[in-house]
Amino acid sequence: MNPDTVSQATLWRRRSADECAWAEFEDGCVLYHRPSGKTHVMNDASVALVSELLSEPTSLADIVGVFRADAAAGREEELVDSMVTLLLRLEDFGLVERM
Amino acid sequence: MAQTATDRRVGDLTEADFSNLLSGSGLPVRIGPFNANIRAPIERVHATLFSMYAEYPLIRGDDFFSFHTHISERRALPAWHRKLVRFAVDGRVPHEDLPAEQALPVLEWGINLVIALRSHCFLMLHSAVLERRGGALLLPAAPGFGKTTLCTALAHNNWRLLSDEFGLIRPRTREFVPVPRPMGLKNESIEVIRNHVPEAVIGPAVSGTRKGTVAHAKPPAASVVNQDVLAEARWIVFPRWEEGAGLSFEPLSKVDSFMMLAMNAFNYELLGEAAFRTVQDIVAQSRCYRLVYSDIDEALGCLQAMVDDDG
Repeated sequence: MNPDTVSQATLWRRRSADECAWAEFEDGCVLYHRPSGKTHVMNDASVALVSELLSEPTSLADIVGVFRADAAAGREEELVDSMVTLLLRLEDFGLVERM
Repeated sequence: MAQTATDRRVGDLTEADFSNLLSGSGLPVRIGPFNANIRAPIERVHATLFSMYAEYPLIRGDDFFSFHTHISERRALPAWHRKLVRFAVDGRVPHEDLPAEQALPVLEWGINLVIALRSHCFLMLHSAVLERRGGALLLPAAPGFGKTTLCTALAHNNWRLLSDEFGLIRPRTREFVPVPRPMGLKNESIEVIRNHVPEAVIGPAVSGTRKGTVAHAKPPAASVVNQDVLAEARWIVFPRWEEGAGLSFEPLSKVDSFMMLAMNAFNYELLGEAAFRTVQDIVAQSRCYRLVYSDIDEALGCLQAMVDDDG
């Protein structure tokens, strides 16, 4: 799906925490998705979204707001695009869903 | 698996009795956790098999077997003058017949095939495994990366061989199960081992196989005698032989090691979450590295230093 078609008002939430098993190491996380049987390397942003930020329905605007502090100044549009891309990928993996 | 070994080993048999078993009811022998029955009524391979399997314990002929393997010769049709060898396991023929000259590698590959297809009570890693000072070194690698050559050299340099091909571990446990087997060397690696390990017992070279020229190195006696001694993972080294390369030995992140180890598991997806947790445990308790080398002595020294550094 084209990131341009995802509204900032769209609410996202993670799927059931019971669907995931985590392996945490000092240098990162690996996740096992029980329904699909797939294993994924999770970057910091993915970990934050799936484990905590999306435990409740959250809009794209609010998600971007959380990560804005870490983004380079003046790169708002890139931040939005990257968050949408990440959310779409996590949705493909079955880890998050739109409401 | 039933492991009712007798107190006798293959080498305790006379060569005549050994041949009679291979040509008759089958050689009943324990290979790691497996009770194997091996029938090979092809007399020209008997002397090599007697040497290769001398240290393996005999089991009772009426015991439960993990598998019955059988190689036999037959005539090709319509080219009647050509002889072929057929591999069968438990009465089934899993692949096409191959030239009769390849009888030895066909048998060894066949036993490996049976292990790989059936042993799903284990997580099976495509990895050599050796033990030193009570810890297991895993050498996971795709074919052609020099794993078996390095493993063969290590096995003859104070490392106990658990396997050159299969890292077997029961899910949610931490110890690797030995399954020492004749080690299949290919092409140039045969001469590499002959030169670097002159004491290694290497069977006849067989040319024209799908892997080129192959020869099997006998597992050191101590590896077979101690095939009941498990070892807990301590080091994971992903090796790659590269012609002319300088030695490179770099730590590897746990996350990368996890994914590479999972990719080198024959049955990771089949075992599901149990495999995930097992790989997690193995990686968590191990030091992980990537090794690139062209000189086998440098690689041996590097791995020895890795062990020494751990104290």
